[in-house]
This record gives sequence, structure tokens and C-alpha cells, in this order.
Amino acid sequence: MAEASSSITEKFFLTLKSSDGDEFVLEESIAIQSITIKNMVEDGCSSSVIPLSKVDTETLIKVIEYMKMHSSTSSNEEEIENFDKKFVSNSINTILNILEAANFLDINNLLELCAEAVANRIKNKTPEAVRKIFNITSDFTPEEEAEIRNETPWAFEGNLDHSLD
Amino acid sequence: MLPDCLIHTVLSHFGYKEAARLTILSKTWLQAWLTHPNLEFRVYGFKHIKKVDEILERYRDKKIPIEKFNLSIFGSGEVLPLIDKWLKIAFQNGVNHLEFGYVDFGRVLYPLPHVFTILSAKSLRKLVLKDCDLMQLSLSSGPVSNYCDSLRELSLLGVRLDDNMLQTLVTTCPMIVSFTIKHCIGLKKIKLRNLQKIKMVSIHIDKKQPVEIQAPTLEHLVFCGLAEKTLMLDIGACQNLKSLKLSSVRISDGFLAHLTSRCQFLESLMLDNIVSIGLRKV
Repeated sequence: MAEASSSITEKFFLTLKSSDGDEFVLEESIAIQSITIKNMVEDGCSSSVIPLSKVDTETLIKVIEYMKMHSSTSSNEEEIENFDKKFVSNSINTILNILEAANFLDINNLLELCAEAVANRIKNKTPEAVRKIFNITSDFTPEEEAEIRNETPWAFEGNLDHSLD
Repeated sequence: MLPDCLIHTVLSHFGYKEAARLTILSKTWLQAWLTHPNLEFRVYGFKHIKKVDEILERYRDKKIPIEKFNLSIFGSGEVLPLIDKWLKIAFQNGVNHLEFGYVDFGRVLYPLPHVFTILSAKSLRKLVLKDCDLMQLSLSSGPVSNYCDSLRELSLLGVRLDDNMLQTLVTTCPMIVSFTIKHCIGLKKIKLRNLQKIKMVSIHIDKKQPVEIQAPTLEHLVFCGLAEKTLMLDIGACQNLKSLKLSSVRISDGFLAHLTSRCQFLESLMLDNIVSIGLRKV
């Protein structure tokens, strides 16, 4: 297939470098799902290695997997759907890293997929459970916290889930 | 720690109650909540009015961007003078998805005075109007000068308008991709043409109205009618139709045969509650 298509359109490749210094070679047509990379290509900044200083190797591997699956030519709808389902079952920390990478790389579908996955993980949880999941330490004083609860008491009603998974 | 814009993205996947609960996580989350670009208000009484007004004035004064603005008013005289002010703030702050609904328990429609000003907003991509009266507007006051090139989706639900108004709306928004018209009153005929980008149309009618759609780009059509009245649906010019859903209509004998011969790309045909005399196998 490569031979047949190379006679019509030449394939270009880009090298992406993670924050850990690992390099990944990727077809340009796949990589430009990232608007950030697309803009760099159009500005002529892609002839050498593209450094992605905000994306570590583990995250970049996941992002590349996603882009390969979602590139227009290679997959059908059902495959993509199954892939996405499995993709969001990664650990919450991995998803959060990918979410940030998707934001930096400007890949809208991936951003929405991860945001929805994050939202689903914390739906109906107590604030305490959500803090643990996100590793957030509250910077409110107990008085400030009480004030917020008093302002919107209805937000804290109902049966909330204490579990962390 | 997620940056503000990503907290917004995550918060967008929650309803108001759940999102409000998350403000207690930390100051960053509280701040993200206070600057959320999607606003949804259901205004019932005086207490709500004051609160909504405070929130919107804060958005206005701090120039906080608004992306989605959903305002439902449940008939209350005091709120009327504020509707214009609130919509204006939404537009100043760049709203791209506006839903406006008005429920008066005496079944009075809200006389929306400036639909064309709304449509001329450069940022607007999606507009949903519910229970508004567009007939208080005078079309004779001159031709519409602004085209809404940015609008892609238009929905009119329970809106009062006449054939002329519908034509003017359609002409004003030539780029719409998706058009929905449900339970609207005052129309004698629903005619859609000159929409060069239209892909999706959804029509629900309550009385016998002829419907004519001339749109070669149309791919999806949903039509819901009245089982006791014969369908008057002219979609002969929609050769690229891929899916058609017909419910509660009475169709004549040759309708389906004619349809399948004209629309060669039809992939999906859903029929529900169809009345036909002598419907044969197609």
C-alpha cells in the first residue's frame, strides 16, 4: 500500500520529542489532528524535531495511539467507539495527564473525551472523595467552607458516594 | 492541578447542582465556577430575578466571556424589563449558543422585539427560541440589513410567526446547517429554500400545512405530522437525502415508491404511526 500511495502523494513524517527526551516518528497527516502541531507545520517549524516540553513519554504514547486510531483513513466507527471506551478506562491520573496534553496540543475530540471521563469519575461523589481523587488540599478555612455550604445548601443534599473509584 | 480552562471543560459536563457542589473543593475550583462560560437560568420569581441580575452584572463588569446562555423565564411581570438587558450582556460577552424560552401560565407568548438584532450578533452559532412571538416585529420597517453568517443551528419551538417572517428568517441566515421547527403557530405553509448548507431539518406540525423543502444538500429529515390528515410534503428536490423519519402521517399510495426513486442515497427510512390506504411492499 505504501508503494502504491507514494506514487500519488508523498508521505511526510514528523518527529515528536517528549519531555523525557524520547522521540517518536509519526506521519504528518496523523499528527496534524493536533492544531498546535498543524500550526507549526504551516509555519515551517517542523523540519527538525518538534519538542513537546509539556508532554511526558507515557502520555505522548497514549496521545499517539489515539491519533492513529482517529486518523481519517484507518478505522471504522465501531472500532473507534470501542477504542474510546477502553481508552477512558485508564487511571484517573493518566486521564488527567492526557487531558492537559490534549489541551496543549489542541486536539478537541480528545479533550472532550477526557473531560467527560473525568466528570464521570467524580459524578455524585462527596467533595471529600473528589479532593482525594484529584489530590487537592482545601485552601478554605472551615468558616469559608461553611459559608459556601450555607449559600448553596441544595448542592450538598442527596445520597453522595464516598468511594474513590 | 488542573488549570482554570480545563476545570471549565470538566464542569461543562455537569448540571448546575453538581457543579455548584464542586466549588467547595478549593479556591481554584470556586474561581473556575464564578467564571464559567456556560450560563443556564430558570427564572421563577423575584428572588431569582435579583440573583440572576447580580450574576450577569458581575459577568458584564468583569467582562467574563459567555459561550452558552440558556434563559428560561416562567411568566413573571417584573422580569420583562430585564430580559433585554440580560440578552445584551450575553451578546456583549460573545455568546455563541443562545437558548431563550418563555412560559406564561396564561399561554401568552413573549413578544421578542429584536430577533434580527440577535441574529446579527457575529458570535452566534446556535439559537433556540421557545414560546416567543415574532409577529410583534414590523417587517415593513425596511429590509434586513444584516446577514447572520455565523449561525449554524436554528430552532423555533412554539413560536408564532407567519410565512413572510419564516422566509425573512431563512434569508437572513443563509448558512444554517440544522433547522428545527416544532409546534409553531401562524404558518400557512412551511417552505425552505435557498439554504445552501442545510444538512438536517426537523419539522413537527400541529395542523394541516403543506411543507416544501428545496435543498439538494439535505441529508437528514425528521417529519412529524397528523395521522388524520394527508401528508403534503414536497421533498422532490432533496436528492441527497440519507435518512428520513416520518411519524404520524397519512400517505398516499405512491409516496414511498416515488421517494425511493428520487432519493437514491437513502440509507435509513423510519416509519411510525403511518396511515395509508393500500400501502404495498416497496
